[in-house]
Amino acid sequence: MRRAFLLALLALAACSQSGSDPSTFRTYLGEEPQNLDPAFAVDKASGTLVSLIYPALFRFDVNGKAQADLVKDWTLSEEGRHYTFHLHTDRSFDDGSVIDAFAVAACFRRLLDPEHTSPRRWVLSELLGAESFTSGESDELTGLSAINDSTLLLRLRESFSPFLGLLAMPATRIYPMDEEGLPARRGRLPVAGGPWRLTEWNRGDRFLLERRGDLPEGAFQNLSFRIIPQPFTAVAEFEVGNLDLLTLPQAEIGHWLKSDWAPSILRRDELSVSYLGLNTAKAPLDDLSVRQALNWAVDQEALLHTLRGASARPSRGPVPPSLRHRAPAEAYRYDPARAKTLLAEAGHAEGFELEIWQKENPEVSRLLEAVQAYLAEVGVRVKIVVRDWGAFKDAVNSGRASAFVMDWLADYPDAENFLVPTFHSSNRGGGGNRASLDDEYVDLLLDELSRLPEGSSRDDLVDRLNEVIYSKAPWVWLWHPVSLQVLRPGISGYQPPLIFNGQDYLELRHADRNSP
Amino acid sequence: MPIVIARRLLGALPVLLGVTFLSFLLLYVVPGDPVQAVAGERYDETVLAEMRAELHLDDPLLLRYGHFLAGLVRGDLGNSYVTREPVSERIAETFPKTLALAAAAMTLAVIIGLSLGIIAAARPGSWIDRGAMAMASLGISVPVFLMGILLIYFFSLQLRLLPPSGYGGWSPRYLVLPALTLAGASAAMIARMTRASLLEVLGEDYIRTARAKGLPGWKVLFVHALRNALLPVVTVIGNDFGSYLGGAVLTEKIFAWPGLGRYTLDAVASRDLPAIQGAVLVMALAFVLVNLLVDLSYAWIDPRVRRGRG
Repeated sequence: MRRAFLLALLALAACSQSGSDPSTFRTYLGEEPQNLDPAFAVDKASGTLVSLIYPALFRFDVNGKAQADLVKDWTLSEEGRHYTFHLHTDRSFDDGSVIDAFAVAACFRRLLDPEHTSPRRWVLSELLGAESFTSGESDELTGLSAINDSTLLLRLRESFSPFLGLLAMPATRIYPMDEEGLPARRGRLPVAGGPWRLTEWNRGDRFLLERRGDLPEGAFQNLSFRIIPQPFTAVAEFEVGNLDLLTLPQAEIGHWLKSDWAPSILRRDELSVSYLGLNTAKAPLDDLSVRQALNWAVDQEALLHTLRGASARPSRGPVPPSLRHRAPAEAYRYDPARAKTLLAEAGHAEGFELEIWQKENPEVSRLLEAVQAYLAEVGVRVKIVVRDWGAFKDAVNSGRASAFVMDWLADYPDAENFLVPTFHSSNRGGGGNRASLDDEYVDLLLDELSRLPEGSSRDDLVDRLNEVIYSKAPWVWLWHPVSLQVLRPGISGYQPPLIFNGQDYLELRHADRNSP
Repeated sequence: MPIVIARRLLGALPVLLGVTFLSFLLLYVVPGDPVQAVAGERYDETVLAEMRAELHLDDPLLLRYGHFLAGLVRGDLGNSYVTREPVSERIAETFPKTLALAAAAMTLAVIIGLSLGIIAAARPGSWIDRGAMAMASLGISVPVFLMGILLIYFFSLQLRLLPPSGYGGWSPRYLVLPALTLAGASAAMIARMTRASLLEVLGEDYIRTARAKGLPGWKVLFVHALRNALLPVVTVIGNDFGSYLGGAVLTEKIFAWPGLGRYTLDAVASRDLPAIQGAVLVMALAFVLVNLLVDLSYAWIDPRVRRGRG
């Protein structure tokens, strides 16, 4: 009986055993992409695919630098507001239509068009006339004009130095449109114009892409993205040889660092920050001393060491270390006595009750249980409120949650992206400033930051802002995650990207895997 | 018989209406804003307001439910808020995969469960009986999650026999592990039910008569006893199968199986109301149909049921 069962299994294993195909690079996404329409691609998975399928004026390289893509050369006027882009004239979409300045203008216009209610309008809201165009007051978008098929003029309301980064985001990809003004499709597949085209789309299961254009020696012809929601399953798939790249889940890191794979583990500081947000509009968190006390009360180093190990760096302010030049001069460290004094001075000698909200996630739960214990030592009685993502987000964005654990991921690699959306009073709530910080001085500095051109005085301002905000403690500072990835041996040319859509997979080469 | 079926199907209509209305009501009350999921992590309030208007989210509850029903009558489940594509398309894609998984799991559960139950009942109190029932207890108590991970560990990582996940374009190799994972608890339940029910039947007078006639033991067991013992077992099978058709969320997640369960879970997370409504409707319909089949099979298994109705 048992033998028969094993034989049956063996037979099953033998039939249709798919060998690994050396022309395909096999990786995966943790979740199903929501929408491959660039104007609606707000999640990481969609953004990743959209950036591979469609071209853009610029694209991020692995180090997060905006590199020219459709743009051949460009000039910026002296006051930093008028961009003139000269485009390549030899690019086309898969349906044969040319990718020219008019195509670019049409896509940008659609992003701002009130007819299409794109949630990513803010990406081009700096364009002159964007406001009256989106509100429907005007049909004209004065800041956007295609002079001829190879020249595009973009005029901004005010100078904005990270602007080129915005032009490399998934939202500003260029695609051909159908009669209804939606991204054109062939069957159910989008018509590509970027480095890859989508050839197979099995929802919830797998995306298969094929390289467009020349295929250099040793390069991969196909790129396969499985959808694998459970990290453990991805590890198993990598171990049996069905994946070429694995992002190590938190629980596996220690084990892998001690394994034979250790030398080939690739590390990359993520452009993101995990924080415990404090609603500065709600008592008693509206009191600076209380917020600072909470920072002194929590042992950031111990938390980091126990919960994240090698996969995070301590956060000293919102801006990740790779986007700033110096850390704040004085750092919070674990000092419950000092926290108690501060609380007493603020009139909370007896402590107070605090609700901290979290989404359903075991890692966040572990963190909050520790935080709960630390805060209990200084008299703050924490109640942990767990909600599913939808309800959690609603409570946080509407300001109902007093405190909450969240992450902020960069849309483009510039310190401004960690400062203006997250702390400018005009962005309170869903704009990104979920701590509801409303501080005139901070606003003033942030406004200046948006206007300053790149250079040393802007770098100084970034550091100053990071320090000022750090001391104002709208968050309890936690960490900047570090991602650890493993690549199958025999593949070269891969680097983990600094920003999620910064890897185009064009430089990857297979050597050993080619030989049987 | 056709009249019975037609009457039962008509009777299911209020059930389906009730289910859709209740889920509509629940989603209305539950906190969470559908447009926030579509908007991502950074948006301005005016876009959100426009989106809400576009999706008729500001309309009164009953009006929205009316729109949903009107669409339903035309066979239109509406478009997903998130992907903006017809919900019916996605359900047509995911449901067959869930159906395949459920059918495979149920087949395995029936084969394993019935065998264990019969073996145990044939020799009550023996070590075979105790062994089989110990396995059954284990099957019921091991969480699906652990079961899935253990199966992947042994069959994929250690023995390298079966792929760890995915559905592999309908290749049966991909179906084995998720189906086994899902089958575990049902098989155990069926085994216990079969054993208990068989033991009860085996004590009846007509069995004694059959034995007294000199029929061989296997014939008494399979021909005379088993058929009568099957009624409660079929009920368990029907219940479990019905719930599997609603998508086995955990199993589908562990094995990256692109079925209805995962689709529904994602829809709930993003408060994608049309998608949730569509999925709930299909689940309810599947449950009603399975229950009807179970009832019909009673009549087939046990003539007394038939006569009682007629």
